[in-house]
Amino acid sequence: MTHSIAQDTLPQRSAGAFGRLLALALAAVLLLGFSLNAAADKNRTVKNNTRTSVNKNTNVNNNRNTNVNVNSNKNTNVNVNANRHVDVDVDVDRGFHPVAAVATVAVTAAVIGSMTPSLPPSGCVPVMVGNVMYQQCGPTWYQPQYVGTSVQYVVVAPLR
Amino acid sequence: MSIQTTASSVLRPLSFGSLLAAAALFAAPLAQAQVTASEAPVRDAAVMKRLEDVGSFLRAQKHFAVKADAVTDEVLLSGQKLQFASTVEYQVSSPDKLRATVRSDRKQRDYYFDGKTLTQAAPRNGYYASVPLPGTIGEAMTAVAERYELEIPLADLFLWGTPKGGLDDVSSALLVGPARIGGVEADHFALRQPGVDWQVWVERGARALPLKVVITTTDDPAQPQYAATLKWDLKASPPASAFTYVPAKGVHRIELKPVMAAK
Repeated sequence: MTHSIAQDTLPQRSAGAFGRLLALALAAVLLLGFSLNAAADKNRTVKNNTRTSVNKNTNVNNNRNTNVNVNSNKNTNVNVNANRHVDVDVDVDRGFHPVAAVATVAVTAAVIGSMTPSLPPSGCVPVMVGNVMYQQCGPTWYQPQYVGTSVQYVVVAPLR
Repeated sequence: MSIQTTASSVLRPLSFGSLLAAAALFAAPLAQAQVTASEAPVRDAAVMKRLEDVGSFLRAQKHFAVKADAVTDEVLLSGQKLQFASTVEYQVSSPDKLRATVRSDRKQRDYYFDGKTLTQAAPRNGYYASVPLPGTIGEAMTAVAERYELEIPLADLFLWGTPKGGLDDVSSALLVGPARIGGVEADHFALRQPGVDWQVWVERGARALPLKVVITTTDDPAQPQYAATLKWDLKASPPASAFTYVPAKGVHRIELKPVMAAK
């Protein structure tokens, strides 16, 4: 009784119109998905400032710069989780790979020195260069490192 | 009639007036006392003594293990609070050997400290980092926090009873009252100091052990909390091999990013 209107009406459209509609819809979904995911990514960012010890051992201010070349390029901070704001999805190797991570990586892939808490869900291979371990994801190379307790991936210049 | 009326008319205003006067006399010092009480922090010496007992008792233990069931609030940029559960297991050989296993839904971390090197390993990711850090467990925890901003939960357990114990920072210390944690009789204390309000439940009797700790971060308007219930095993004797990290096959060493010096 409660069939969706779309199911009932779609087959009656001409193939061309349907194709165009589908393409438009897909594009809209993709665009919407990207912006939503970007928003979701930001919404999921935690401050990571809850004390787990009474004694605060850190005498230094929280001024660790998570962006290597922040002084050389003013645009490097765009869409990068800087300021040690750690996404709650950090190193989720339990099958929880939000699409948001892909969107973020896609936007910032070329920015050398930027950081991301997670790699694209597929297409990455670990590569040892000398004694250092990298993750190569297509044309983009990442060097994993610990920032406090969190693993962060720094985009580096391609090594091959 | 007229005498009685006069007498009562004289008496009534008098008694009313004296009542008012008495009320005013009492009220003034009472109000003042209340203001003073709420403004001046109370630092109960008996509470501070009991906290020192906790430090001495902990530092007197040569080998022990403790397991904490904890919940941590994480604050989103919007101010919304999320709660995450975790467990922390410590195996300790005083003064300079520690193994810690931290498990939460989002992160798994293993820590190894053998008096010379501290290693942080992420078993699910296959990454580890090792840094040279000679000293006691408390010194190592202070050093990694300062140099790498790496906070290992409940570092206090290794700092109380040492010069870095931080009890001097406590501005207010109250005995809340008796409590029972996991069936064990305890005293509930409430403390305040810059940046944190904290509560600790200390086992009654000779074993001055913290059975529960709640830490409220007060410099965030959302006031996130970390709460841990502790189960102690003072008869544990961890093997020496527990404290040295041996990377498994396919596990890679990465760097632990140092904190940048303040400008």
